[in-house]
Amino acid sequence: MSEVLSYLSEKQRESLSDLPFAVLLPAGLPSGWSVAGIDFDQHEEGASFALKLVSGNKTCAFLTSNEGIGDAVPGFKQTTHKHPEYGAIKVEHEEDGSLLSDWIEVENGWSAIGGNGLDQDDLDQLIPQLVCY
Amino acid sequence: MAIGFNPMMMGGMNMMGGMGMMGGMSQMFMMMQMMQMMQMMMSMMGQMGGASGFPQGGCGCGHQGLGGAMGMPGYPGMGGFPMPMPMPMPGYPPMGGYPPFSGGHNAPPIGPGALRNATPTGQRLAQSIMNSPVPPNCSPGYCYRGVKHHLRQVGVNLTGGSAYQAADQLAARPDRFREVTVSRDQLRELPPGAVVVWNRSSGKPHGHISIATGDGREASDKIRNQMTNRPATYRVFLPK
Repeated sequence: MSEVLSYLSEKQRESLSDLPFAVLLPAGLPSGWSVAGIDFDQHEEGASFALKLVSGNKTCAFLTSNEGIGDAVPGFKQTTHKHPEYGAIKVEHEEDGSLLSDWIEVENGWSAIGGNGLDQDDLDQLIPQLVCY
Repeated sequence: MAIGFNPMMMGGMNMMGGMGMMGGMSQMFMMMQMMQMMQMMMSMMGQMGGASGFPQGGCGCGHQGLGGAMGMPGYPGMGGFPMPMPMPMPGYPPMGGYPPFSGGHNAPPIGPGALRNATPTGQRLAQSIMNSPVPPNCSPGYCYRGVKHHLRQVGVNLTGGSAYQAADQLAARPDRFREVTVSRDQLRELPPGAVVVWNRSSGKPHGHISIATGDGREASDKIRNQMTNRPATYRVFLPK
């Protein structure tokens, strides 16, 4: 985790500046995590972006959108994770292992963390590193 | 002399300060009467909150009882609010500062027949869900996108970025949907195609939306058991 967004290629980093909204992404990746892909979808109603990470059986997606969203449904467990700028970020965990955080307002959109199989330690490592780009 | 709720008398809430200022036995008697009246009122309001049945009864739109109006969370098994609720103040921002739903207050209660029967549109919606349970680009968090996709299959186009925004649009389509009052207990008995829209609440600025699958589950960004315990108000629309 030396350089900010060093886990992205130069082309991927440049593409962030073309998005219609700001995005929340981790400055660096904890050990064991790697990029599985980047999705960007734009249509007449809006746009959405996702940086997908993987670590073994665990998946994590850093989502940003300006269309079609709803809040996390109350799961069987809720965890809270501290971020130096955004404060306490709540994450709802469903019984099947999927999870979704609060949506955080960014410029022209909303960002959240989704995923499957992540535990408290994973989120405690990833969430404090979120930076707005 | 009538005993009113003059804000200037609020000092009486503080027994020490209030009594010292008023002095005298008659004032003390009057104060006791006033406190008894306030206790009675608060007790009645607490019963109203329970009767509103936030967890189990009521329509969910927030106009009944003080629980919903105050935006206080309710949870299954609590049986309403056991504690007396404070009086709601005019203009008090409910649900974490978000306004209540603007409509749905006069929706009739759902009948037992409507709970059992799937309408043609409801069946088509259920079929759309079975064909494509999770629409493309619809991960958890994109419930509104998922519902938009399924409703589009039956000719209903919704707009807006957040799930709660669907309620007024569905209410404006009486040709396709009929709004009904449904208790939380009945949410898992909804027929296929029934749309449930949850309002915004504290820390939840977008709300939630789903389509009933007819078997106690809901479909939106994924298929899950029908949610009933969200600490927010909701509106229900049955397809015609």
